[in-house]
Amino acid sequence: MQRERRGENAAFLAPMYIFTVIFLIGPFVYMLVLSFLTRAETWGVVNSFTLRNYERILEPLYFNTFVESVKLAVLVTALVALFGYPFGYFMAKLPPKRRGLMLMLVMIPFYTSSLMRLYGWIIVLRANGLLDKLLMALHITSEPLKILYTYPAVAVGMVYALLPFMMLSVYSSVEKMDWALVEAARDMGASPAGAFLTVTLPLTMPGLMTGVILTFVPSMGLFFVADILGGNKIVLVGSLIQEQLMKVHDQPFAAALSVIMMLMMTVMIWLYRRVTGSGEMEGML
Amino acid sequence: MGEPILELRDITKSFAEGTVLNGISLTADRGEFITLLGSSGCGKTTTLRIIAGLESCDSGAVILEGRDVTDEPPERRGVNMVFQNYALFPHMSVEANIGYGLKIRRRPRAEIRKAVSDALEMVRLPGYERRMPSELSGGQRQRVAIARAIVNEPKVLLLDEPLGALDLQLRRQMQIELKRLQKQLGITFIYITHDQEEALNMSDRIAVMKNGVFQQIGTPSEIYDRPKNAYVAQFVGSANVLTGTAEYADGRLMLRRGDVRAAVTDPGTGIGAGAPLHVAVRSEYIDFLPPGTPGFAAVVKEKSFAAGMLRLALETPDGAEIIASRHGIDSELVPGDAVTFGFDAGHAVVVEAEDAT
Repeated sequence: MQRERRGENAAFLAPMYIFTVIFLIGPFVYMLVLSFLTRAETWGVVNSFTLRNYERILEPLYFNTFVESVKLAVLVTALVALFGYPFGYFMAKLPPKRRGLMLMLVMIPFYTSSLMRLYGWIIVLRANGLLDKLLMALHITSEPLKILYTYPAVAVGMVYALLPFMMLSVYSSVEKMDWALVEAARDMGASPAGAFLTVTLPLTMPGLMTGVILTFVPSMGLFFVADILGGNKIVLVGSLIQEQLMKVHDQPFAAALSVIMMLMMTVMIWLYRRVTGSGEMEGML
Repeated sequence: MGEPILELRDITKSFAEGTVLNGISLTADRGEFITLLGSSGCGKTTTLRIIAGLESCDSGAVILEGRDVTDEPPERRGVNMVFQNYALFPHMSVEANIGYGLKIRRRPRAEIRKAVSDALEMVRLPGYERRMPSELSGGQRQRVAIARAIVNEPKVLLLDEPLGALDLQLRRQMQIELKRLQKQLGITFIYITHDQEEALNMSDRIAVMKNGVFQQIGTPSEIYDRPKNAYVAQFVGSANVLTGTAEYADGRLMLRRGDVRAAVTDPGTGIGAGAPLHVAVRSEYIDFLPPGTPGFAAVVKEKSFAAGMLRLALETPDGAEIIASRHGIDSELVPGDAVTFGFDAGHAVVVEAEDAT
């Protein structure tokens, strides 16, 4: 009986296993193998094992790209958390009707192409664009800031692109909050800020951490933001991988860079589990 | 005793859905156990939340130890609450939960540890400091919630249906323990329940609440034996309320229903003959009379057995439902039988009509 039942289960689960192997494990193994192969003279790869691709990452040119990417990702993540947490928090505290409306407003931009939205930012940020005109009209600045194609422009674009992920994951964990706990904290003598820091923040930490992962990891790889708003002046790991793959046609090196990024991601998720003590991610995942 | 610690002065509160509190006043003495008794939606939880400062009132005042705290935030009131679903912090150990209030007030660590272990001793859970709330049973969580409140030495302890989630046996046991704790600590308890047995068992005084008004405030025996109005009689004593007109015969007050009348206890308030009269008679005092004796006619509708008593639901010709209860498991009466019933005048208490509000 027992064995029969187990066989039955395996049959039901088979499509899931097949899917996982074909679409997740397969490509990953392919990439891992590729990262240890040698680039051919003109096109494709040669089947000879090498660690050269990983050694190259340590060269200052590429290593700096990693360092700069991480710096930008930290900045972007911090900004996204700073703006996204309060937004998600207050959204969850709205009355249900208006909450639905707000959720819709947050989601709507997802239905537009993200490239389109980035071009929108060009109009805002370019020299004598909307932002410059506004600031000059308000006599805050006397000449155009020329933000487009600078580091801040890339940061703004990334914060904009990634903010919804933070808002939604914070929202989903704040929405689950048992507010009686906050009342209990107040009842026992905590000020509103004290109750937030000792009760609300720790209990919504899973949402915040999910938001951090959903922001930090992509912000290292959103090459098109860096390309469009940074004008090729700011090179991120994502841009580097794309360039190596699509322009230089160095597939093994691109694969090695990707493997390192995946390792960083894995470390972050491992940290997440350590911090929140849970295996599942809040909301989005 | 006798020294007022908490006073509610004519408190009103409305939400968008309507008025919840309709001007309630109450004075609680030091060390007193007061129960707010009422069915759900009567405003008892709102009253408690207003005392705690978790809800503001539209008008009226909350006075604690002679100080008006109506506009004070909860953290500056010196009262503590045991929440209905305990509201233990799931991310903190039992020790951190109980010590929370003391830690917020920056008391030395050694003092907190001592106070926590004393409080756990008090609620009979010694050695549970390291446990997490998720590792505790319902009854244990309840005890931790109580320990977390009393450790702060509140002037008044507010308890919002603290035993509601426990099974019957545990509830009985906790009733006794709570009462013991209250005597031992000498703290004023304001206790909420919808269970009249619990209220009668534990309280020094009971405030019966309905539609945001205190229907009657009094000791358990006052509430039980001398209900002020029909609602209190029905809710607390599960009494039948018979409605008719007042009549006097040989100087005795009588209840007339149709062509039958019966003597009742005269409250001495000078009820005029012909005035509408409401009389409460508890189910165990409904007597069945031999056929042919003058009495009120009714038909047996339903028969059931509960809590060691046989319960007979009767219906009078004018549609009133009367419950009669008897010891024992069965009777010869079956649904459909016509019966005649009456009651002893000493057990028929005149009550006011239920408030229209």
